Amino acid sequence: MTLDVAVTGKVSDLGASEFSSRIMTNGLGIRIGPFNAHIRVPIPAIQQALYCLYSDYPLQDLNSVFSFHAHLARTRKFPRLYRPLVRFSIDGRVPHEDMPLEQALPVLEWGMNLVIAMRSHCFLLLHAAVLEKRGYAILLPAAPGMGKTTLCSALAHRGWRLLSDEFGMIRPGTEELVPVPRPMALKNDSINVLRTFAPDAVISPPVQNTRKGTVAHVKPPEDSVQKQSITARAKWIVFPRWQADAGLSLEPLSRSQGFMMLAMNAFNYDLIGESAFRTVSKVVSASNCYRLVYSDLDEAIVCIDQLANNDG
Amino acid sequence: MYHRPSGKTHLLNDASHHLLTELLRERKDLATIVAEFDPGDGSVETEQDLQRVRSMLFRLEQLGLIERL
Amino acid sequence: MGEASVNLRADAIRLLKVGLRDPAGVVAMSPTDLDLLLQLLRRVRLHGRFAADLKQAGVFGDLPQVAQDQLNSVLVMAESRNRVALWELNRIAWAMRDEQRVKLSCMKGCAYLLLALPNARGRIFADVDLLIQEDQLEHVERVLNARGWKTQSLSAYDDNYYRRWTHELPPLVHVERDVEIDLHHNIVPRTARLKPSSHDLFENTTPVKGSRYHVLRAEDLVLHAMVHLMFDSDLADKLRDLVDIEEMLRHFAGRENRFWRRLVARAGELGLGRPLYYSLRYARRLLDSQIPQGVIERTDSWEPITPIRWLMDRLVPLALLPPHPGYPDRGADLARFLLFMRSHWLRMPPWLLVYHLSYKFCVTRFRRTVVGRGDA
Repeated sequence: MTLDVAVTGKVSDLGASEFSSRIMTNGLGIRIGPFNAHIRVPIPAIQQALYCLYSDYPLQDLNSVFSFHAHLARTRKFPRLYRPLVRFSIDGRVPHEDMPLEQALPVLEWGMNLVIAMRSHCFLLLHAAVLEKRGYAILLPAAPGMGKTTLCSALAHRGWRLLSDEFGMIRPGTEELVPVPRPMALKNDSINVLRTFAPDAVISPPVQNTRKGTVAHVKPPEDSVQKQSITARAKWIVFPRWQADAGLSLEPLSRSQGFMMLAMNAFNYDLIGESAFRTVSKVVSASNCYRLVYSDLDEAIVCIDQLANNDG
Repeated sequence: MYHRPSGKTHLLNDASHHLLTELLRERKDLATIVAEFDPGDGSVETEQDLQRVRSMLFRLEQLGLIERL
Repeated sequence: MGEASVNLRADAIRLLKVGLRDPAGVVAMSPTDLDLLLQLLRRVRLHGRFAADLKQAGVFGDLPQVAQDQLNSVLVMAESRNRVALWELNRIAWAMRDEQRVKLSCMKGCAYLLLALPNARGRIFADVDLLIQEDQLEHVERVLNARGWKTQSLSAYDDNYYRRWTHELPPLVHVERDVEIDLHHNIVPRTARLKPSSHDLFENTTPVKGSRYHVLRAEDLVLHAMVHLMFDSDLADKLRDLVDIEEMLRHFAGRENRFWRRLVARAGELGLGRPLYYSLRYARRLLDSQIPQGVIERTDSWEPITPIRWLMDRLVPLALLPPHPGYPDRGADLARFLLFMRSHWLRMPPWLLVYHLSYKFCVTRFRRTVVGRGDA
């Protein structure tokens, strides 16, 4: 196996055909936030989408230590006789059953999110979107299905720098949010909501019939990837909830309410132990906490922008 | 409140918080604890009050926050 | 492919040895080698121990940040599992407060923790394993049930299987916590071919200072680990268990009076000569373990017939050692399959094995037919 010559620069520096040629054979090293990802995807059908979604990411020399090795490949040799399937593996191990070929891109993205979550206990991991403005971070912690990714992708196209749509990562002992910008997965109606809201957003072709319905991925804006090594200190914690036909309401929360809700939204709170307790306390103390209920995306954005402007 | 041996974080209401703070200072017997829970309106301690306190103490003991001697 | 896979395997083993023995050597490795080593260690769950070793040697900070992050992550997990284990022991002791006549002896992971053995470092703790006198088992189960532990609900068949044929009750789990408790009265299933005396094991435990718990005696602790690895598991990716054994041997040999002599004698008493023989053999061959010549000579009397020994010599390394993550190894797959069959064979007599496997097979077929395709 020949090793790649030391590469610097971005994925887009390679051009689409060199990108595919590498990612389909020896794989490509890509830097995502604090992670070195080695990705190998010998699947012609999603090359274009992958190249597009990952074009701004820095390349990582194959002669590096990687956080994980992700591999997605076809499993059936005779597509005409059987339904074509893809198999996802991490470091040579297969974590779940094979999935339909049409779902290749979501399977790859979900798989990588899974391995990131499992190997990141050196960080406190929150179920939260995180964005930055003027050096400070807003956390939007919420369980899946509350609309945080839609809200997050909208904010990311309205002057906020994306740190993450899914993982609020904090090194214990600090209040610094660590960026891990990734393609953002939108489901069902949210796809059109974002298209309308931000026509300049780059969105992959929707994939239907996944276990979460129809899924499409939004490319993270270029500056969010460019600045992925720049952390931000938490200043606002807003627990969002989209509710049809609800009016807009922004309700300040007490420190103890904020603590409780933030701790409940931390994947690995119990695992990390005492330093999780201290870190959540610190972050909550340094921030203003709110609960936000909304049905109109524009109103929610205006509200959040105002919050950021008023609080300084 | 973070409890080191179990690694659990507990959210306490006023009553438990008060009780634990007191017990950290000094050990007490059941009668004293019940007496100190007196709301101060002159009402007499009932069997029900005793039971309530006993349940709370048992729960705290089950969680490992207090120890019966 | 045959020769290529042998070379890959040899490379992987070479790296593993550096990882297990030579922290300073690790720092000098190329990033590609280090990356492969981390994958191999992770596969056999030795990456936590590796991280602890590097920290102890003071070279952890010289690793690339990406390596440090992964390794810190597993150390956090190991510490969390240890805390959970000790707390579970604390709560069991509380629940059994009024049952002082019941002796509770720890085996495996709990014992390593309570004794702060060197092989506990970076180890991801799994279940609480307690040895209890056979006639007290159901009483203890009842007491724990009353205090909040629920017996895992199994089918009537599986429940019966556990109680009658193995050495365990079905596992217990407390409603508010996520730790499995396995109550044993022996270290092997009742129907297994090996039959160590549970009375002997139980009588000869050592109390742990400042604790409600006892632990098995040093030689019993080691023999249990050996039996568990060689006779109660399919050996797949279980290199860590062999490393545990090897580390305990070194630790006790240096501390306990006449340890080797006691170990060999005890193996004879309990009828555990074969697991001892195998464990020492593979510790030497795979980990370059230093076993006193006298011990080797004495345990040679427990060796199996030559064809079996030859076969095991080929199969065991392929199962214990991690395969290269990038290349499928058909030989290792086959070896693991054969050892999987062997582990079932050893757990039950032939007629029971046939019955058990047929039952399981029919149940799976029936479920699939009734539920239909695509239910996985």
